[in-house]
Amino acid sequence: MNIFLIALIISMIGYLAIGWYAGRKVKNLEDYYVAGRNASTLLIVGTLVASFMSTNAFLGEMGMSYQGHGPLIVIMTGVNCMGYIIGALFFGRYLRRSRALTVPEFFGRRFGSRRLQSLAGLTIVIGLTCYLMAVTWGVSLIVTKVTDMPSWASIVLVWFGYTGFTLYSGSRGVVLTDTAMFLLFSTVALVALYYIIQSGGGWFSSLEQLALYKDKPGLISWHGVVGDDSNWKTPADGLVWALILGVAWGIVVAVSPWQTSRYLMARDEHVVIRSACGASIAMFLLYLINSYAAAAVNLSNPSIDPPESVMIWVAMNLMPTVLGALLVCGILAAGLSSASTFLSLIGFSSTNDIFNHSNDPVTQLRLTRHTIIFVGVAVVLLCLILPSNIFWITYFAGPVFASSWGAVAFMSIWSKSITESGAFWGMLSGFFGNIAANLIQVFWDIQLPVYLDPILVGSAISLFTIIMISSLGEVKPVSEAFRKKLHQMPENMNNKTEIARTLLWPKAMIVLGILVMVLMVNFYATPYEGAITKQTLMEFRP
Amino acid sequence: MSGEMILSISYGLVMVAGGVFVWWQVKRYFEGDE
Repeated sequence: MNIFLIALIISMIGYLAIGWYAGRKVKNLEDYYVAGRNASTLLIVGTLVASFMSTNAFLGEMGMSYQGHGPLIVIMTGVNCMGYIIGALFFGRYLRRSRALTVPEFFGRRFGSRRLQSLAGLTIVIGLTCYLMAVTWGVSLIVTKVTDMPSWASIVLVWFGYTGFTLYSGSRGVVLTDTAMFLLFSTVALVALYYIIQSGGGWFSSLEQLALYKDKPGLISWHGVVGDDSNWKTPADGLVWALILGVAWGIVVAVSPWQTSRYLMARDEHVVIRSACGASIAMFLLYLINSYAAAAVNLSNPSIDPPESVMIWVAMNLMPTVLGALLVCGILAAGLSSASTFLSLIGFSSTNDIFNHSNDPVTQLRLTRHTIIFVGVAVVLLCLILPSNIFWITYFAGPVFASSWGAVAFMSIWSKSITESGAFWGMLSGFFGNIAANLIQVFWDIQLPVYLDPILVGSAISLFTIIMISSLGEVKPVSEAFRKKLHQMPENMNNKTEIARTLLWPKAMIVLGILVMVLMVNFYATPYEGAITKQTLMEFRP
Repeated sequence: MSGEMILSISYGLVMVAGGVFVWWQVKRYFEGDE
């Protein structure tokens, strides 16, 4: 048994122990679904970031950075992060105020519509089951690579890990394990950066080498590697791609169920706003660190294949064994945390939103646990039976909610004219609009221009449908009454001490923004320019 | 000004702008200007 497998098993036991501890405190349905609506800012930040950053962030996007597209990932993240702010201020805090158990339940109550609640629940079950399969495959691939276990055994181990702590403790356990995992992968990402930079000869030396890197010219320039061999022919192409994808993923973090459902667990609306700021800060820094770290690995090994395994290579070759094992655990934690959130949401929506739920909370709690077992078994069987080369199916599963839910979510808070039918057909058309745009690309091998990204196409179709259908009908009085009630601020929210504490977060964002600006100018832009100027002078020297 | 310098400044500015926006919204909403 190698050190990576031992570390993996220990970390799994740790998560199960946390789940067991949290599960003992589950006394009722609110505890299980929304962690008793008592989660602190740290826990909501932890679960927001851990749910968002899955294996895709540590494998796919770091692979892109290694290949020379890190700067575009950074630009995209800068825009994407603002989705947290917009989402929390204009949707999340009102969602919290509704005191729904699930986001589909909020839609159902807002429009007095059982069919809308069921539809939203169904999109969760379909979309997140696909996404859960993708994450299960992703995590099990890493386990297979570092432990040499057979593929089926890795899948079962991974499934057992996330199902174990999710089943017993529900959201109470998921927020705790997510936060532990968030702290783990954030810390090991920083430690990994240190070792990568040291192996490149220190900060300024590695930066100079990367600035002049001949095999991948422009590796850390503001636009990264562009040209005929790249997906982006010119820097402008890359910039437009990063900005548009940033907006698209900003909508994902603003409205998707695996992000906004976290706000239902917040202690109050101040925690919603504070945690959105915290998540924005964490993502802002983590992506900067990860993108630079992955690019700098080129100095140690420029030919890692596949590029997505760059951090696994770092763990196994650049870091001391124990720290390398911790890095692998951190990457796995990123996957497991997303998986546990997805599994819990599928279970909650199946029981609470799709089927007619029991009015007895004890029965519903039992039914939800049974559903989670059923879903978990179904997912592991699908992962074992289906060939993992159908991975592309799952690629569009996550962002589909931005198209399906985006316009409905914001308009449910801010529009007086959106009707139940408008919301229902808007959600349905956005869902299929997104999938159709994806299928066109996959089956006809057509690369749509970036401004026709499936997220944006689906969102536009959804918005158009809502406006058209709503203009043909009338808003139900009960629906408008619910919306007005959402805009009534709870009495205890204008407490001066709480407001002052909330204001600390935007102030921290401002200070951090200035600090990042100063650090990037002095430790990135200026030495980068110096290296380029020095090389230009050398070339012109007779 | 180089592209790298613009990237450095604008990346920090995004966070500054986000902070200013949240600060303004919280003041406006919770302190009763809305």
